[in-house]
Amino acid sequence: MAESKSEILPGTLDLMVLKTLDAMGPLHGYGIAKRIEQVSREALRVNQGTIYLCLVRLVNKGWISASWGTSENHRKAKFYSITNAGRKQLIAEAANWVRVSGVIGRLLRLDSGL
Amino acid sequence: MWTPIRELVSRITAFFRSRSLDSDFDAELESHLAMLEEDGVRRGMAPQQARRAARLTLGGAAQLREAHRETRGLPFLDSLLQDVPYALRSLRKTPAFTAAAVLTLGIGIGANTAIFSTIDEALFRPLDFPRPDQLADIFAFNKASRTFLSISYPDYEELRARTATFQRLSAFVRMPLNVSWGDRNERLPVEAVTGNFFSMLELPPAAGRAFRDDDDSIAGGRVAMLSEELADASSIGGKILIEDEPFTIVGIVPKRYHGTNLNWGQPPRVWIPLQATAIVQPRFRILDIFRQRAMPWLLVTGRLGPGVSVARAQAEIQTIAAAIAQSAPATNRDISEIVFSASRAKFWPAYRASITRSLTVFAVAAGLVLLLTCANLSNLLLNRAVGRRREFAIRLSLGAGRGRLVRQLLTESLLLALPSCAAALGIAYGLGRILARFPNAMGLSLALDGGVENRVLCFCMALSVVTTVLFGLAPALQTTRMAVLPALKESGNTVSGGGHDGLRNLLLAVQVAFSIILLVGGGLFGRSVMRAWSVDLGFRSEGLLTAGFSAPPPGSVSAERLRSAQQVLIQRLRALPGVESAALASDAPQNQLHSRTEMRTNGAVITADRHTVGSDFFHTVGIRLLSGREFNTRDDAAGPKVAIVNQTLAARLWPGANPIGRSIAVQKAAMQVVGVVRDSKYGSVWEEPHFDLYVADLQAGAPAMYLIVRTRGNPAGFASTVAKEWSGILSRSPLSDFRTADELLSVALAPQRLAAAVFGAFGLMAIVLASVGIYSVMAYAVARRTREIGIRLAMGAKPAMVMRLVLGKSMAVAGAGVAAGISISALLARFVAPQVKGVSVYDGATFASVAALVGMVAFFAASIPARRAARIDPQAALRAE
Repeated sequence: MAESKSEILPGTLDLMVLKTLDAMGPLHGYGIAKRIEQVSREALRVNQGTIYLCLVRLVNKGWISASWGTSENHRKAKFYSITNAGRKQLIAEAANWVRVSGVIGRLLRLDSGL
Repeated sequence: MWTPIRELVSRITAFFRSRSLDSDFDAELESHLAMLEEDGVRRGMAPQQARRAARLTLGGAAQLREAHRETRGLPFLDSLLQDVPYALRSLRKTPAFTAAAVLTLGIGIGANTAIFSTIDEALFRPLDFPRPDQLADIFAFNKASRTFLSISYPDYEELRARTATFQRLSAFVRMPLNVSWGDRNERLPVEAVTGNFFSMLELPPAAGRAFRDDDDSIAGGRVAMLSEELADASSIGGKILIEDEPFTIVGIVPKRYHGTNLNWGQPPRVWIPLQATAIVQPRFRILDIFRQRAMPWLLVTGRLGPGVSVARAQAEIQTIAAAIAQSAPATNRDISEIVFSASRAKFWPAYRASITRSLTVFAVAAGLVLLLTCANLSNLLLNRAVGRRREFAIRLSLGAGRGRLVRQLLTESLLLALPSCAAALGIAYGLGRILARFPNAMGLSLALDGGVENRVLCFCMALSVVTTVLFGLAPALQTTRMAVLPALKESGNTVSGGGHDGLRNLLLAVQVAFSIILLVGGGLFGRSVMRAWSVDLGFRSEGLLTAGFSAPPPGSVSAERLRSAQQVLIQRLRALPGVESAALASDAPQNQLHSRTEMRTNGAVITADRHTVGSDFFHTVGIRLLSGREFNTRDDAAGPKVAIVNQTLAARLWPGANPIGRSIAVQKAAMQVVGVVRDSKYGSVWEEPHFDLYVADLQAGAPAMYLIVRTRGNPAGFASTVAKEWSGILSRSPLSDFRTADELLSVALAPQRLAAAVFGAFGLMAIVLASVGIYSVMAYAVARRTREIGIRLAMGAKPAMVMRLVLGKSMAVAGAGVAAGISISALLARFVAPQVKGVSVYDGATFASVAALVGMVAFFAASIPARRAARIDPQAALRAE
């Protein structure tokens, strides 16, 4: 059911944003939010406001950079793009995530006796 | 890992670019909303609907902006920078509250700071020298009489030669001497010190040089050091006359040195080598005081070797004392020596208990004032916070967190702390000055400086901050814990803040109780003083000048010689214009120490105070002669032994009969009573009627040592004339210690006067605070219940009834406070019993009048809002909703 959307796990939004920007190239905040919702096939509820807090955080850490540009609809918008430091971080975090989620998946399978 | 550093740098830059980043973010949100809206329209929503949906999706812009700021910048500093101007603005909007709070805090903290400063200086503060813990004092202790004594010079020399625990041992003595230099001529406290004194203290001179060992001899002793308060480096090499003997100024002693011993009343101003005392005090030379083991006159202070404990020094010094006692049993058989850490022994050891007791009483009074201040501040803050409920509710509903609001309120409290601390320091400085200058404040004179220094400053700041934060926190927490909607719905004057009433009434009752306690204290001490002033002393103190004869060097002047010289002086003084009469006596007024004697008559043994007085004594001091005659010059060794008794003694010995001509046996000598005089409080204002026996000076074993002169006009002005007359007759027994009787009386009363002033002032402050509290709480309650009262009045309640309702409520609170205050005062009263004189500490009149006074003030404070309540116009009150 559409109502059973999951909240985003704490700490994973950063990773999602980095991955999105890595895959899609420069995007504005709205675009990032929409993309994440699309990719999750609407299974994740993204609080669109919190995307911006996440973006500020990542800019401060130097993993993404921001500049004003013009959107597809000729609207002024701020575009974010991933930096080299961000890419390194993404690779490290992604590997970590795969490892942790693999462990959790195995654990759950063991427990349920499958 | 430089990401965190980078992040910090970004945050700091963001902090400073806050404004441009804010508008940047607003633009970003704006474009986000626009895109959401366009998407909605594309999916077929009406534009209006799409805009609404977009806003819902994005969430509250204000919260988002706040969160954005916190994430990108330095949220703590950011909110502080927001809070401070906001708090300042809100404090400025309520100047009455701000002034009241600052004044309340200033008084409460100032009083405590002053008392703390005094206690600290008297009891705890280490002496201001390098490594003060190494400094130790040695006092002689008479094991037989259990009293502390000074130390004789030979004993000092022996201790100094034999000690291994002290690396340096110095001796000194303080005496007031006539000092003149330039065109100044003053009697100043002079300290005579051994040559190693300043090197022992490790106190470098402010200019010139300090004394050396070779200064401390009769030959090289004509050098002096002056306090920085008197002179500067330009005086070095100049001449100074001390008791008309020339000295050369060699050094300046820094201002911060006040002496190591506080109980001489005034800090020293001039220093001379110890051996030079023989130059300025001829009798010291005649007495050969530097060789007399029988004459203790020195204080001994030394610096212990590194790592030596006071206990180890004590053990060693005691051994040396025992050895001296063995070799000189005639003088030192009972003498032991006790070592004190110098920072603890700032005054004569026996005084410590009485000083500590006086200071404790003041500390308790100051503590009460502080608690009162806190109660008052809490009430003020609570009132203020409750009045701002709507403001808080609006801020909460706009998305401010509760923590944020509490922080805001605490910022306001802390902002109050700063000016309060400044006010407190001013008050403390003034109070400290008064305390330090007050003669005999602790029952003896201490040379306190009363200044405000670092420890005191820290104490004051800490107290201000702790008080404001602690007492600001409770109202802040209480008022921000509320549901937003009801608070918003409430219109200004029907806040149903029922929960606060209990706390407020309790605080109010506490304030009333504290003011009662302080006023009872002030009342008791005040009545002591009034009793003392109003009491019939039995003698006339005004116009009396007293002075003491110094004991002449033994063997130099015979008793007969001294007596005849004294008679000549009396004759000459009587001839002086402005002098009404003059007499000799064994005691000065308020001397409190007098000899007692046993006498027998009709088989009864009676102990009486014995006074040796010369002819014309009673006329001179103004003690009325009831019957018989005074002593005269014919009552001498050749004549029959005579005595005069006071009326109490006469009534005890010969009730109802004429005492004149009766005989009494005083120490086996038969004396004939020649006169009866009125009872007097010559010895002490506090003494009850007692037995006084007066014997004639010329028939007593030793000459009377006090001169009493009744003058017309200002008695103090006669001192130099009298001294000059006497030095022309017998220079070897100089007159000293000139005092007027009024001066002696006021010094005798100083502890009570000071305590009355302190408690009285604190008590008045308390009552003002409490009445302001009662007024504001009641006024607030009335304002809050305007509507309810309006309805009551509209329903036919009489204004008088409304007034009774309001008054009744406040008087119940005040009554509880009065009852609590009176009971606590009664419990505490016995602690001030040693200082309260001439009146019982359970004095009913004092308790009753204080209760009545506070009750009355409370009534008046409450009657203003009560009358306002009665005057409420029901129509207007109801329409206002």
